[in-house]
Parts: sequence; C-alpha cells; structure tokens
Amino acid sequence: MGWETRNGNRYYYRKRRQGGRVVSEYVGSGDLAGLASELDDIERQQREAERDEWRRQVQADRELDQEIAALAEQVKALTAAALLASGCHKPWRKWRVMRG
Amino acid sequence: MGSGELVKSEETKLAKSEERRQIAERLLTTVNAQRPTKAQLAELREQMKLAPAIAQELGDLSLQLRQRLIDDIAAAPGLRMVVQEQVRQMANALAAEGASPLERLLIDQILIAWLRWQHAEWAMTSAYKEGISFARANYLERRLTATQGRYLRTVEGLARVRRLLSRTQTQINIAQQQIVQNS
Repeated sequence: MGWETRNGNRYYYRKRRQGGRVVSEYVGSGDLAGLASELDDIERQQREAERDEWRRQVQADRELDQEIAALAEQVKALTAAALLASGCHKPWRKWRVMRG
Repeated sequence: MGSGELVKSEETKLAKSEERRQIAERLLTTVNAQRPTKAQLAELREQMKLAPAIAQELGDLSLQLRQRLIDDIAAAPGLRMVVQEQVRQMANALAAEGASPLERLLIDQILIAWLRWQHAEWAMTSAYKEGISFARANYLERRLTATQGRYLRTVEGLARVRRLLSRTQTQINIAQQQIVQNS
C-alpha cells in the first residue's frame, strides 16, 4: 500500500483524506522511502490497536451498564412490591400512601 | 466435595436462581398492573413471604458488582483499600439506625451508582491525560453525565421509600427480618 510503479521505478506515496477527497503525497523512492513506509506501517498498526482497545472498552462499559440496569430493575420490582404490600399505590406515576 | 456433589450443588443453585427469577417476574406483573385488585394485593402479600430469598440474592449480586467496580477503579492494593473505606463510610452514613433490609438493598444501589460514577470520572481523567479525539471525549462526557444522573436517582429513590414507609403501618418481611413500622 502506498507504493506505485512508474516507468519501472517504485515510488512511495502517502494517502490522506482532504475535504472528502483522497490526496496522494509523494514521499520518495529507494531505501529512505522504504523506511518511511515501515514507519507508516507501525503507526497504522498502533492506531488500529488503539481503535480495538477503545471498542473493547466501550463494549465492556455497555455490558457493565446492562448488568447494573438489570439489577436495578429487580430491586425496583422488589421495592415496588414492598410498597404495594405496605399500603402504598402509584396512581399518577408517583408513589403515594393509600387512604382508608 | 466430590465432582458429583459439586455438579448437584451447582444444579440446585441454578434451579433456585431460576425459581427466584420467576418469583421476581410474578411480583413485577402484579406491581405493573395499573390498579391491582384486592385479590392481587392479597396474593402479593403472600408472595412477599418469598422476598427474603430474592433480597438475599440481590444483595449478593450487588456485593459482587461493587467489588468488580472497586477492582476496576483501583488496581493498586493501597488505592483499593482507600476506595473500600470510602464505600464503607458511605454505607454507614446512609444506613441510619435500624435500616431495614429493603433500605440496605437501596443503599447498595446508591453505592453501585456512586462507584460507577467514579469509574466514569477515572476513565475520563485517564483518557484526557493520554489525549483523545473530540468524539471520544464526547462519549466519555455523556457517560459521566449519565452516571451522575443515575446516582442522584438512586439517592432520591431511598429518600422516597423512607418517606413512604414512615407514613404507613407497614409489616414487611425481607431477608429473614420482620420490620413493623407504625406511622
């Protein structure tokens, strides 16, 4: 990726996005271009690893939140049951003590 | 314990857990009924006899979650001890003299929500130190706001239940402890 052959010679180009278009930026040829290409590869791998780590973190967050919400839902059910059993009701989305 | 006994014990645990889940679902159905009838309420009071088992299970789950959150926030043993102590002090401050088991469950919810909030704070601080993109900062900010909101709702929940139960003549039996409250 990034290497182009023109007139039998290999040239290294960096691709980047600019205003919705992909722009090629000439880097060079020969050993120096090879080194630049390797450095770009390392950077790309690092970015991918960071992205993977971020995705893993977001997924772990989501799972933890789901677990907390599930537990909260059960506690809510038990609380509501206890309130009903002790003479409260919820006429308009708000718990009140039943009269009489 | 032999492997056979271990399997049997695990099966019993699973069966009990399933039974408790079913009880919780039945309770939820009654609770969600727009206007429970007298018969439904009588049935609910009957079902509340099974509440100790549910409360016990929920308490255990809360404890596990709390521990996991503490481990996530504070990997270093020293820091973990500090967080644990903070949690203990919060629990003591919230649990007034003779807090009922139901209140203790709600206090557990507050502690979990508080830890989750701290977890979100910690994640954001570490991310800012490392430098993050706008999209990621936005995600972490939204998560922080959500966890703060959840924490406040749990505190309000405990206050509401305390206020309501103090005004009713209540006889709740949760977690092998019978509490009679008179208004």
